[in-house]
Amino acid sequence: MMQQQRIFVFFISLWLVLVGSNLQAQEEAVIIDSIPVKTQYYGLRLGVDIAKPLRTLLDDAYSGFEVTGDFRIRDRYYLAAELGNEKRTTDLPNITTTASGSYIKAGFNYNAYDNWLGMNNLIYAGVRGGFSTFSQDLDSYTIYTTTDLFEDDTRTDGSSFSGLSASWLEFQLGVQVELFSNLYLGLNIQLKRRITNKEPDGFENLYIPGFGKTTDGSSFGVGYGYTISYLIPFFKR
Amino acid sequence: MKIAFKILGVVGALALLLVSCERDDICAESTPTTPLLIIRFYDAENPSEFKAASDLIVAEIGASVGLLFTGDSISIPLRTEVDITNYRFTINSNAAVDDEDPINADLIGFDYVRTEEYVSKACGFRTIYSQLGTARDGLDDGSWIQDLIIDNTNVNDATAAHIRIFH
Repeated sequence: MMQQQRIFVFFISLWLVLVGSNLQAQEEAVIIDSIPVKTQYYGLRLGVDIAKPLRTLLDDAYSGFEVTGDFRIRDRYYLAAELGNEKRTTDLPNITTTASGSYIKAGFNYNAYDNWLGMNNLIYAGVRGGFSTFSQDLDSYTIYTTTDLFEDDTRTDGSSFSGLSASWLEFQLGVQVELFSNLYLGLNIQLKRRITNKEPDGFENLYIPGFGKTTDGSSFGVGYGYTISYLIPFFKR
Repeated sequence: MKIAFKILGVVGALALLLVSCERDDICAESTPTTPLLIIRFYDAENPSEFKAASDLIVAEIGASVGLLFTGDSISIPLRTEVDITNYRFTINSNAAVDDEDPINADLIGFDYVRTEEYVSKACGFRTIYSQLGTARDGLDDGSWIQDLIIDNTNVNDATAAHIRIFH
């Protein structure tokens, strides 16, 4: 299921890249022929992560959405934030648990890409502080034994743990490409390190909305974003 | 601009790689999970010497399958969903009718208090036991177990024997 989904997302990326190249090739030709009048746009870019709704449709164990925004403050610096909500069921051999909650990430992006005159693309490195509040339901669990003399002892009495939270530091690498006038396609990968983690008594957080799944003995997490966003230009410089 | 698209592709491929390379969580055998009850067998005539319980079958009362042991140390599971596990200990289970060491069955009921503990993502939960007690019945063929001593009423690890049986 997950594999199919990833392949699907990959081909959509590929398609957008190929279609995007064609459009861009025509645009470049126009720019070369004409006198460049467009300059650098400063404004608010608002968008949505399209991978999350797509995954909501394809994956029964997941639902989520995320809105993104950035605001250019200097030539190469952008204030950036993401706001989202996720619900995810983790189905492990011995535990099934559902985490559900909201998160915010805020920080800035540094654009390392030297645009030609009139272009407004980004290849950026970004830093975020992330914070998530959520709850976790223990849907079912099996007592782990090393014997097969007895049948499995599976419990479904289901405890619920609320008031959980976590914070993390996140590093992003990504691109924002202007597909059409003011409409951007963005893709980023995220590496995160947990700073705080408020865990339930007698259990642990297996999925943290915004952070992703946790791993035994590690405070690192990974993620990706796939966004469509619109730039509302405030002024040119 | 072409470079930007190339980088977009590379970043996309990297993201896929990262997501698909997350390690699987498998419960390692060395992780302490639900402990087994460890019993050692001693010679009743010479209580400091181990004495193997030959062809010992330990099976739950009413169960058709059990565990076969031959040594002087055995590990048996305790039920995790109830506070008592009743076993039938059948020694010399391979003996012929007129054998010098005849087949003989004793019942031992183990009672305890259960506590559930979270272990890890991969292993899930385990049960540990405390206030271990026993009840014995020699049945019609007499008791082959002469004495039973509980050395540790807390069964929460699998490092040393919890019970000594003299026969």
